[in-house]
Amino acid sequence: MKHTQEQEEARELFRQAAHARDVDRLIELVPFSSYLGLQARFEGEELLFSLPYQERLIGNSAIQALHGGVVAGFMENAAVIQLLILEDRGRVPKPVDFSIDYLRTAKTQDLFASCEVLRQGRRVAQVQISCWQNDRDIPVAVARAHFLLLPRKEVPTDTAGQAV
Amino acid sequence: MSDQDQETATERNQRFSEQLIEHVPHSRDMGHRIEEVRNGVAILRQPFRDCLVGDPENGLIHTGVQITLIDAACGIAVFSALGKIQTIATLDLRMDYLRPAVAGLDLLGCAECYRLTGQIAFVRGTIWQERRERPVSTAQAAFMLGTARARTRNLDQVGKA
Repeated sequence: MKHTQEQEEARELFRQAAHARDVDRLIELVPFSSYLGLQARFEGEELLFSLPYQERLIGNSAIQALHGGVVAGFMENAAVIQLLILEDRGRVPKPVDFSIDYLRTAKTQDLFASCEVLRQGRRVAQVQISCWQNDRDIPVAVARAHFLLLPRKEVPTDTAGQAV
Repeated sequence: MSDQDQETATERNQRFSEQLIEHVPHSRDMGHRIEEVRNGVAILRQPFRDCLVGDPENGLIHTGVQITLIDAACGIAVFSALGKIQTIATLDLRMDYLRPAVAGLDLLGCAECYRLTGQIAFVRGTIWQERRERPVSTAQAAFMLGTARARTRNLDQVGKA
C-alpha cells in the first residue's frame, strides 16, 4: 500500500497516545470503538474495559438481551486497544481470527472485559478476552484472537533472513 | 421464476426485515438491511458509514462490524430454516479475516444454516464487499434452539399458514 503523509500522521497520533498510555485518546482514534461506546481505565497494571449499557445495543427485545455481535465486537475492540497500549509503535494490529464462546445471556446491563496477552511475538500476538457483567467470576463470554502486529516487509529479521 | 414466486420472496424479505428492525435494536442502529432470505439462507447488507472504521491509517472497516453483521445474518438464517422466530442462543462463533475490508464500500454477509437438529443449528457465513468470490471473512457458528421442540418446516408454508 502506498505510504502517504496522511497515513504517517495517523500513525503518529496512535504512537503518541500509546506512548502516553492514554486509553481515552486511543479509543477516540478508533472510530468504531468510540461509536460503540467503549471505555477503559487502568486498575493498577491491568486495563479494565467497559461498555455502558445503551438501548441500541439490544439484540433481542423479547428477552432483553444484548446483541451477540455487541458482546463479541466489544471484546475484539478491547483486544485491539490492549495491544495498542502494549505495542507503542502506533500500528493498529490486524485481526487474523476471532473465536468466541457465549456462556450466558448478556443482560441489558454494562459489560466489562479484561484481556490477557498469552503470546506476543514480533509478528503475531494471541489474546484471550474475558467478558462479564455483575461478577467477574461469572463470565458471559470468553474469546481468543490472533493479531498480526506488523506488515511482513517490516518484520525485523536476523542475518539469515528469518523473522525473529 | 413465476410472478407468484417472486412476490412470495419479496414478501418474505419484507416480513423478516420488519421483524429484524422491530426486534433487534442493534441491527436497526447499525443500519442492517435484508438483501435476501430463502430457506436457511440470509444475506444482509451493512451500508458503509465513517463510524465503522477500525484502522484510520489504512482505511479499513473494524472487524467487530463484521462479527455483528454475520451474527445477525446467522440468526435470520436459522429462523428461516426453522420457518419461525424462536429464542435461540449463540453457543460459539468463529471469524477468519481473509483480507482487509476497505472503508467506503458496503459489506454483504451471507449466512447459511446447513444443519438443523432438534436442539442445535449449525451455520456458516461469508462476508464480501465488491465480489462474492473474494470474501473478506468467513464465519462458523453453532446455535442452541429454544426449549420448545424445534422442527424444520418450510418457510413458505409457514408464511401462508
